[in-house]
Amino acid sequence: MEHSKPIFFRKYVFSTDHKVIGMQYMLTGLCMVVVGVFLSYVFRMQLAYPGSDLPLFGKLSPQQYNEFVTLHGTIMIFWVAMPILLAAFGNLLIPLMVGAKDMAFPALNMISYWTFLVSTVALLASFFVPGGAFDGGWTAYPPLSAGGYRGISFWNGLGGDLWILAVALEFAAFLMGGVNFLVTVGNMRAPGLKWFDLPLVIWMFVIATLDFLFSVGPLIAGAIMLLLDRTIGTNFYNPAKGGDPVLFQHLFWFFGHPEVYVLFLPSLGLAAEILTASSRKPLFGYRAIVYATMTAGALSLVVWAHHQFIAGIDPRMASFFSVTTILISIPFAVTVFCYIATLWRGNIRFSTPMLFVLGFLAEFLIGGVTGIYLGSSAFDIYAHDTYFVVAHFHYTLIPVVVFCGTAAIYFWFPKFTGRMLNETLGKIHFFGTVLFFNGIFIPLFINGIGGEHRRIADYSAWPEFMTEAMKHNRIVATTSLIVVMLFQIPFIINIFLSLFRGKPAGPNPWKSNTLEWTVASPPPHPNFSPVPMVYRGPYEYSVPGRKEDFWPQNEKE
Amino acid sequence: MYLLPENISSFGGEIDSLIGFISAIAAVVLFLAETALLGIVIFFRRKPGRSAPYIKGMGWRQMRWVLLPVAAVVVLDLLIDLKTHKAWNAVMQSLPSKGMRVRITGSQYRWSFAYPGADGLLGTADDIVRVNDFAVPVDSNVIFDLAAADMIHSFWVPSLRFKQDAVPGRIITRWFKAIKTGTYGIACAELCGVGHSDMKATLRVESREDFLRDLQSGVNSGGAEVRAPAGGAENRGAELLNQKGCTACHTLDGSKLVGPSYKGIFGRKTKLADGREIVVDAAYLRRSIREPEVDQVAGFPAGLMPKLPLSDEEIHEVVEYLETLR
Repeated sequence: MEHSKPIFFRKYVFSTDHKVIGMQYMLTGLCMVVVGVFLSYVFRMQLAYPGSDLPLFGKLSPQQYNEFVTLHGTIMIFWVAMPILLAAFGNLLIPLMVGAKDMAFPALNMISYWTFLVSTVALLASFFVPGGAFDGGWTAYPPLSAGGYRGISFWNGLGGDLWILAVALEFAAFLMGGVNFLVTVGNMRAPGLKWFDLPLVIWMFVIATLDFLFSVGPLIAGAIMLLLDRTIGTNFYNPAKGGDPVLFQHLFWFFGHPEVYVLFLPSLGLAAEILTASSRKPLFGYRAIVYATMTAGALSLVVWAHHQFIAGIDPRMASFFSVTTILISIPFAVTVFCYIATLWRGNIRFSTPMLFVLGFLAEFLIGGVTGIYLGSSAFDIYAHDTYFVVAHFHYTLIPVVVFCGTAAIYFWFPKFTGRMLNETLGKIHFFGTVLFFNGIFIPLFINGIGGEHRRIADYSAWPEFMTEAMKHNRIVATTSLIVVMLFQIPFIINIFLSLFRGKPAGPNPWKSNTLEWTVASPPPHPNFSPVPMVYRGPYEYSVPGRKEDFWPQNEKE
Repeated sequence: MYLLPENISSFGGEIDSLIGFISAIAAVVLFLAETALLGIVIFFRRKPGRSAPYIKGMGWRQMRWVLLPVAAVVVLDLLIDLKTHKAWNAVMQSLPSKGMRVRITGSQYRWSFAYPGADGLLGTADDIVRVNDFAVPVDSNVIFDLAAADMIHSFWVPSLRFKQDAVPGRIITRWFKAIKTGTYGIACAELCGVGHSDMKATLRVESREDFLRDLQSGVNSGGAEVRAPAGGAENRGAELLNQKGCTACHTLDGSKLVGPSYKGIFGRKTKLADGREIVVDAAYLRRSIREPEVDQVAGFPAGLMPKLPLSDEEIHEVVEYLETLR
């Protein structure tokens, strides 16, 4: 194919190249991490030292506390985890791994990113409007999120309206991206590449995208009704006028719970690629994992009401959702056990990406086991809206999003920049992050079991939550957060240092099998010329009788 | 279970034993899985000259190493489900037929508790209403209708092992039986606005005689903490401000919460929402307590303050007290 030399704007700004779009998503996501983490730093400091003048910020009012907690959740889920794990890695890897020259709809892909960027600007702008940012919690339950139906005030409501608008635009962006993912994997696989020869991460992107597409519709409907309630005075969720606030909760969580798996599945896939390449063994039980994940994807659509056990739903519904929730642990138990079995008798190399994957497995087990607690409806009577829940979902999301995401950055950085990241700095980053992460959330588990409820700016009025032990736990959590933040400095230095001084990577530094490693690093514009022929699955490591312990998918012999 | 607060409800034992049961299973599973992971990672680290075997995990002979542990997980899951179902039923689905009836209403940012008056009926004029102070007799069933006046609130009593959201537009009927006298905290566990952190009430479990005397006297014997400045602690006006939950929104120290602070309120030049400027006097304060929506102070949200059932005498005492807060 003949390509004219594109001018700078075409190449790096309004690009239709999936790799550039992936990078744009990645950089936007990484910038938003800084915002989200800073918010958590401010409110954790407030919790450890209530009412004091916080370094780098000042005094935090209860109003700001609610805004910061709301925006921390929103940003970390929708502007960090989704863009980095799904959009960035999906864009970077899908065409390369299926042997395609680009996404199926490159222009749609570009629109997807720019829509996302507009949503990011709208969200950040909401901090600076009169009345402040949205403060109704990231779940935005009405009537609170609808101003309590006390009349419409345009300027006071602007922060919340921008928030809803930003979330809606963001979903539109991912809908476009999702269509692209599905069509590319469905129609543009290289000749010879069968479905069950796809790298696991591609399966994970497909199932996650399907889950997203199935579940997002009700949420968009719910968000539009909320926006109308806020702006033109409809009463969809206003019980005084025949509406029902619990309706919103159903619409929200019908999306909200599958969303957890939308983040989780790509991470599991990324981990599988790193795990096999670093233990030099085929993935144990590839098909079992694929089937288990499909089951989990389907089950995830019928577990949502476990977020509402005590929210006023009919108590007879609880047992059904309790059973489905506890059942969903089974497919994930299959997957995690298969990963551990892959390590069995492997030849394990402790490169930084592999360390982060192992850190993910070790820490995620804690998140999974505490999920069993919360799947139990009766335990939720006690634990709902306490710090036990906060600690649990951070123990799932941080291993999934942060550890797997970081592992993937270390693993594919050489592919997309042509240079390796520094291993010493990487190991400092790994141990500092993974060890001190426990220091943040184990104290919160303990306080949660002690009954400490969430979303309280200052516990000074609560003698039962101001015992020496509980105060101490809050300080330990905050200190650990600051330590983890400091341990990200070697990571940032590493990225900039390696970008210019790193060891040249060559096309296949990890001796991997999948197709992206068969082209130059960074890959040229139309990825492959010609499109490769695929002969086998992605995990043919240590095949007996071969000289090399890997066997790229496109090598005939 | 030393991490949990003391249990004082008849059904709390079910929850505690469920927590113990899940914890025992979780501890064993977690220990085995982490040990296996750590052992494998250390034992099979890269060594020169050794190569990995070609094992794909196909067929029963290989997959049983995964499927048998998974089967164990399934069995444990089902055991947890059974025990969960039992505990859930005990708390949420076994309303006793006899017991004292109360109505609990959450509103920004206080809990109010209505007891039937002499007519024995709830929702009539002679109801006895207490704000942020919930006295119940020990060893008796308390059946309550939970309602919310404005936002979603959540009635949360760690010591009772009980939590239930209060949802506007719904009346949710639940029950408990406290089995130990004492004073315990009641919280709101659902984000309900800027004063959510201060939404706090007290549960007082009393002997039957104390409870009856308490209810008839109409005076709170304990309950909400009096946060008056030094020297004013004996003042009945200060006591009322606390009992009625006023201080959840109005501070005594000059800081701004949902409503204007009481500090220096008397004689203060104040701008109203309609742009007029007035000087706060006793008449204005009395009117604002009776009809909060009239002549609101500029810069504060409208419609938040509830009309409180205060007698003329009580209003007089409150205003007198406010006058002293220079």
